[in-house]
Amino acid sequence: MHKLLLVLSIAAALNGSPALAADLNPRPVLEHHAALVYANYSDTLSSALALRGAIDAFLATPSEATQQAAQQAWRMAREFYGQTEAFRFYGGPIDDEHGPEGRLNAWPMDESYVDSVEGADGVGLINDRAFAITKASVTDHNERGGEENIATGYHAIEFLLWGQDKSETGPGKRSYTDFVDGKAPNADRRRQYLKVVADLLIDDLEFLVKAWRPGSKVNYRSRFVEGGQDSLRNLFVAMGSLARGELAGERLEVALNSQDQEDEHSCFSDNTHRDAVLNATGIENVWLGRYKRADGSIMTGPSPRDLVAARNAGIAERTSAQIAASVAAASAIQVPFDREIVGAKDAPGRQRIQKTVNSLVQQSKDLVAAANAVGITKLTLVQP
Amino acid sequence: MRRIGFVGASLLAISAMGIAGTPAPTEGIHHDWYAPRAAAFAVASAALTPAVQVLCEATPSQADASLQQARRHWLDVLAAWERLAGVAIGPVLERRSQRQIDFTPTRPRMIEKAIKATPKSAADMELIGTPAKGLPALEWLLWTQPVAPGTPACAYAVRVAEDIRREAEVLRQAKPGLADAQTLLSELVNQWVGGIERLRWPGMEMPVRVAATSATPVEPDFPRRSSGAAPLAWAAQWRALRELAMTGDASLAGALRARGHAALADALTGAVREADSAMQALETGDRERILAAAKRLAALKKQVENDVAPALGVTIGFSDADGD
Repeated sequence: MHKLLLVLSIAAALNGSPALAADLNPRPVLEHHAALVYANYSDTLSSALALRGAIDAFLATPSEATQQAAQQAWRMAREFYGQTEAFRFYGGPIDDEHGPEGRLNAWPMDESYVDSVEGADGVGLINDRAFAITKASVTDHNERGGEENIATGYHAIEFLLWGQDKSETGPGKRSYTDFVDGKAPNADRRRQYLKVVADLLIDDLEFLVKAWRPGSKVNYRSRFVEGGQDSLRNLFVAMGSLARGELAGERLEVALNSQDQEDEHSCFSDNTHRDAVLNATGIENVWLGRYKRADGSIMTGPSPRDLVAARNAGIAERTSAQIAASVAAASAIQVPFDREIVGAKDAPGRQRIQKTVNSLVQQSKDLVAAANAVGITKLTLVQP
Repeated sequence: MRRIGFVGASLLAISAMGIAGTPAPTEGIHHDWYAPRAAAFAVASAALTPAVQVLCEATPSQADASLQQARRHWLDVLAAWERLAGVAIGPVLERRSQRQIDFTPTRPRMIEKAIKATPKSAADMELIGTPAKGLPALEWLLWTQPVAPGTPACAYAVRVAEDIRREAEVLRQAKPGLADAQTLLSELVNQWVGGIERLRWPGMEMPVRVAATSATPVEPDFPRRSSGAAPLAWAAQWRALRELAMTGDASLAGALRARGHAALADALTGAVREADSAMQALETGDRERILAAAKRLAALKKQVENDVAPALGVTIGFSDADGD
């Protein structure tokens, strides 16, 4: 039993009602959450380093085998980053005014901003030999002149590893020869570009790990754990905003409405079904104070759920059940996502996605009730 | 929250509902606010389809006048739509109508694909993605790539207009839900906050900020840019927000007064009037005034979140606007 739960249980036993006696000090929850965030970002960084290693090997010796190894490393890296999205939307290190989120995971991406696409050879930063491919210049051009002018991050790497997805049954089929001199125009610059964006990914993830590293008296984590109710509020804002506006809305419902591959989050690799599961799982991690690390070990500790349960066990239970239902519904979405979204309203794939949307929307309402139970009544996210 | 605060919040909610034992201000919102605006949108939409049809059947000598007439009808529909959807409550929210008929930005490649698909029925249109339908797509077909009479593109424009009319008619006929007064009030406050944010950020400020990042001078890509109707849309959205903030019993100020918060109601009304001044006669070329108006809207939103919502016992929750 967690220390917090133990205290609350003793208080309940003595007084007959947890709401009467429990001191809802959020500090143990915040300390454990900070440890969880640090662990998740550390695993994300480790998996990104593995990705960069695989990319280095691919660029040193381009072949189908090294390309597939890099693709697999990208998929594995997403398994950890996807869960960290539950740490967004409250102006923390990932997405405050200077946060790297827009460099790490911006989408949808206009591929022609970076490289040749079907019907438009020779376009993009890679094919513009007057453009110097450096960390600074690529960063400077990310989202320049338009939200879809994505130059960096997971999806830029994804596009370079897979290419455009023109298949109804599988992901993009970029040839490794695009990276071989003499086999494709500007192969040298394509290699250079992929190397630079992989390095930038590492830089930004290292920044996040540092912001949440324990033992510092000046980093974000040190302020977060001292933040009391404001920090606790941030956890609810993050969970609800990701569930409702981002995952249910931008990533699932918009795709359902548009029936367009452009609205598929990881459209080049056909990995969108995992993005949905990982986002939903990330929310569950925060709610339960639980996280399965890359080495398979399980972190557990005091959680928002525990605090809510001390005030209103029914709301806590209902919220836990709904969050679990969302993870299950997202897990039922089939690959490829770009075929799941197509068809009439009663098409099976569309119904699977709609079920996930409905569950996430209900989950966001339950999270409002849960936040209310611990005295939090304003849950708007931080906007520019 | 400590127990005393928890009890206090509960009493506030009960108090609000108790006052609403007599008809609550928000209970009239469907009848007084939503229904007339939905009816106006349906009337405007019903006139749009025949206007586009006339364009498609026009002789060469009639074509330009018919195009101008279809455009005028589109602008009428846009104004009626923004006056209704500026604050997306009731059926507009439940049916997700904004995503159905107002998906922005439209996607020309999808419109071109849809034209080739030659949809002929409502069922056919269900298979067309929303970026190729609705008001933005029709704006593209009337302004960006104006359709010519007798072409497949013109026939598709008629289908798009029909699709808008169908949605408008459903919205007109929709009955109010059975939610209690506090739930309605909560929806009003939350959707009002979402509405003002939609106007402020994606509608006004973000396009200006994005344009400023361009290496070469570019015009801000405001919604409704092709038709030049951005100011019309801003005014119509703001009108919906202003009315639901301060006009009559079915408004935020009305709800505040009904609960004895006259000072807060006065403060809200004052802030709305200040924002109203900033929103008057905005033009797309005047970036400084647009940013100044957006700043006023941001302050007003903050006031509603921080002062109005707590006084009404409403939690500002999560909305579709929370994504990035």
